[in-house]
Amino acid sequence: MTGQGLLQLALYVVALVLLVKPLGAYMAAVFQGERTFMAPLLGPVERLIYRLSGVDPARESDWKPYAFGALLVNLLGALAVYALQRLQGFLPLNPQGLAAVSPDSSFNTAVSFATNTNWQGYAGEATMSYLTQMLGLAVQNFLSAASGIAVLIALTRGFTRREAGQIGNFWVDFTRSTLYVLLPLSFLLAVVLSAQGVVQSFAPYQQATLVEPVVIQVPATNADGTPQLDASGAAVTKDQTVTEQTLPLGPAASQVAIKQLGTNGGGFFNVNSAHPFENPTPLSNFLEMLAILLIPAALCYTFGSMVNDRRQGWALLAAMLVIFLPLLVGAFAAEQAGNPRFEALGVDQAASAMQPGGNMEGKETRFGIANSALWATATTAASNGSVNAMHDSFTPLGGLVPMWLMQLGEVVFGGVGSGLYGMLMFAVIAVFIAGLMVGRTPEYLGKKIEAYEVKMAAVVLLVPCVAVLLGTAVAVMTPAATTSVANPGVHGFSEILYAFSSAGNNNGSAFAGLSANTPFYNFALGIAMWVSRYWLMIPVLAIAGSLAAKRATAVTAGTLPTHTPLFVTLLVITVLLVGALTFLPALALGPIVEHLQLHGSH
Amino acid sequence: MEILVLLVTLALCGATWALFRLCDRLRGQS
Repeated sequence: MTGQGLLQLALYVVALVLLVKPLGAYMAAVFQGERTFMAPLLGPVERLIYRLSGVDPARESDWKPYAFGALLVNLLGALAVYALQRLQGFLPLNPQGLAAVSPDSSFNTAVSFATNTNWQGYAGEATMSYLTQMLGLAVQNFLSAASGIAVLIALTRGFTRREAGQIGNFWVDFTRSTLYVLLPLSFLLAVVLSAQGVVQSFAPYQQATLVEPVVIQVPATNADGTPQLDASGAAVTKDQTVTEQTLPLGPAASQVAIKQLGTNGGGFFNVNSAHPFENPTPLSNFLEMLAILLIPAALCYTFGSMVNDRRQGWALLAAMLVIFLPLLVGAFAAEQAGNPRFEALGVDQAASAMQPGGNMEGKETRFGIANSALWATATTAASNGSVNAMHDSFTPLGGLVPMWLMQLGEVVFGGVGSGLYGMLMFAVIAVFIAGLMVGRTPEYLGKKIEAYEVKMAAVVLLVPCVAVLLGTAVAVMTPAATTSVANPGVHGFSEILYAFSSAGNNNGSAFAGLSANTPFYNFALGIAMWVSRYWLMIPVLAIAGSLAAKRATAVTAGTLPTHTPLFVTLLVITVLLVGALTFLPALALGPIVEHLQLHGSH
Repeated sequence: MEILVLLVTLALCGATWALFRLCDRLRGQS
């Protein structure tokens, strides 16, 4: 590891923590209905939305209508994205004349964007019209993120309310998340990103003449268009000199801003934020990385404010950082250490003034090792899934870090809203375990945690694990799935495990090397994304309703304090133990074996 | 393929609704 690299990681973490309090306090004010500095501008818009949609903002509901609203808006969003993809050939803002997307790919993408996963089996610039990107994908980036925040706010009210039937009005929380939080921040970031060179245009793709023509090998074809084969049946290739390249354009800056802030992660272009039109400079890279964790981190403070004990929010943030920081340093160290096989060949992998050193395969030279490792760790700690380097090219241990962060349930920051409500489920389990140890009914934030809450929390914890492990197991036994693997063997297993870990935890990043745009993966990953989003939201809201109806328990000498280092340690151990016990066997078959093979003598 | 998409979506909606009802019923029993 280089000192300069560590300094950059430290700068990032300090900037993030400094922004937690101001943004967290602002969001707490927004969700408690207090007047904020944005009210003069956005208040009339908010009231107009309620009037037009017939919503009475003062009317609250119990958890069932709240959950129904969240599910309905997501289902309608998915249907809209599906229809846009299927009909894009007939719709405007399609200068490249891109055809309709296939039904299975449209299903996968619709579910992916409605669930805040943003797994992409398609290549954006070759598949989606500008209209589909803007009206379908970018809109879902806002709505799916707002749904996650709304569910968290409802759960928070479950802790704060006493003997109440209601947990809030979904439409109000949903509107305020979008209008007061996501839209202003996205607007600001989009302007800065476009100033840095991120494209924002409706112009058709441009042809550019290459400064230096390149020769590539392409398959040779017969007169009837079929591939030419040699005597052994292998495809014949021929040289082709390329003198021009196509530069894809589009309204990218506006979509990139919300894809980062909303922990969505779906790139406008195929290679996501490794593309120079999506992430052109070190400054745009820093801001995009900051945007990944900004809202999930600040929501910890919002939670503390809303439960009238900010120490609770800081404790949850501390638990996230305790897991995040060692894994970040671990990924950086693994990538900076490089490939031992290259050392044997005499390749210089040492960092110097002339090169970043380490494992630079699949990484952008303008970002280097530290910022690639930082992005990979942040994007998988949060359920973002955007990438600025190819995780498939990471060293085995460097690739294990993002995979395991997803498998921990996307609770280390996690998605906007969903990360914190996931961590709160672990907190429920942690106080339950502590209660078992001392023989006392567990409590959290003054509410007794009883059998119903523990059952629901167990569902929240177990559903993603089942989606990941069952999906992976089915895939490795299905020929239609294994033929998509470009690297058979241990690494191929890692590619499949990564894909289901990503979909089954609503992350959306890809390990690459897996041709996932096939009917099998489009359906299997689509199902994994659906269940790991909505089958978690429902029990979380059910817990919110159950907690809100309870009376507050007085704090006594026997109450376990949940803002102390002891509880942070207990929470971290609970998260890590569940993650380790569930996924260590699978990881041992993938990245751990690959690491041993890489460093073994044979 | 459109039919398959429809069937899978309906199955997911049905299963999600079943979980919703189960959560509600379990709460009634607690």
